Amino acid sequence: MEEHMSRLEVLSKQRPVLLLLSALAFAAWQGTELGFMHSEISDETGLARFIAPVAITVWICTSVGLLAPFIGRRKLASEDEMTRYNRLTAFNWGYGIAMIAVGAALILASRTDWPAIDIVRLILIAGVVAPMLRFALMELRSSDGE
Amino acid sequence: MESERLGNWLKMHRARLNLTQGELAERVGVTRKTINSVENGIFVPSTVLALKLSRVLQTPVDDLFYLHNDEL
Repeated sequence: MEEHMSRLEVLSKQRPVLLLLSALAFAAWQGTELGFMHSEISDETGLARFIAPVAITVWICTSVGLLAPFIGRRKLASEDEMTRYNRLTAFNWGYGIAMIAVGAALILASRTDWPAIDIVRLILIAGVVAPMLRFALMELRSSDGE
Repeated sequence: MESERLGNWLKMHRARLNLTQGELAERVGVTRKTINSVENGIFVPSTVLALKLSRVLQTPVDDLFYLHNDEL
């Protein structure tokens, strides 16, 4: 039982770090797909060609790390009421951010000639990354020592 | 659920029974992080968790938690 609890302890400490990495990797990956980023990060440096595969790899690895504990019995024990509360708060917060992004997208779409795919991608980045960051920060805040 | 108004004597009662945060967490079925957050006033527990804490710490809920400034 003690070993099980310490495993849970490790999992709950790893989760916010993995979430942070995953959110940043997702933002970097999607960011390199934006049209104006392609022109900013020119082919001369090849930076986009380097960032995208690294970001995708990090995102896949962290996603696997985040989902792995959900397979099996550990899920029930690591999903206590504070985790559920933090997740709900993060989703609510993410929804608010996504709505702000939609408003900003509306203004961008009507006043600029940005491609629709870039605007939609920005909404996606905001909607996905914001709740992940918020959840990670809430989990980090509550994981201080005894 | 975050609140500045709810205080608690959890740490004192836990120490009285020589329980670590981890041991208390195990007995009430939450993670140590949750106990730590409740003790530090970061997280306000549900009624169910408060009652479980009360039972394990052999102390009435009223003696575990209090409202700052005696509100209500």
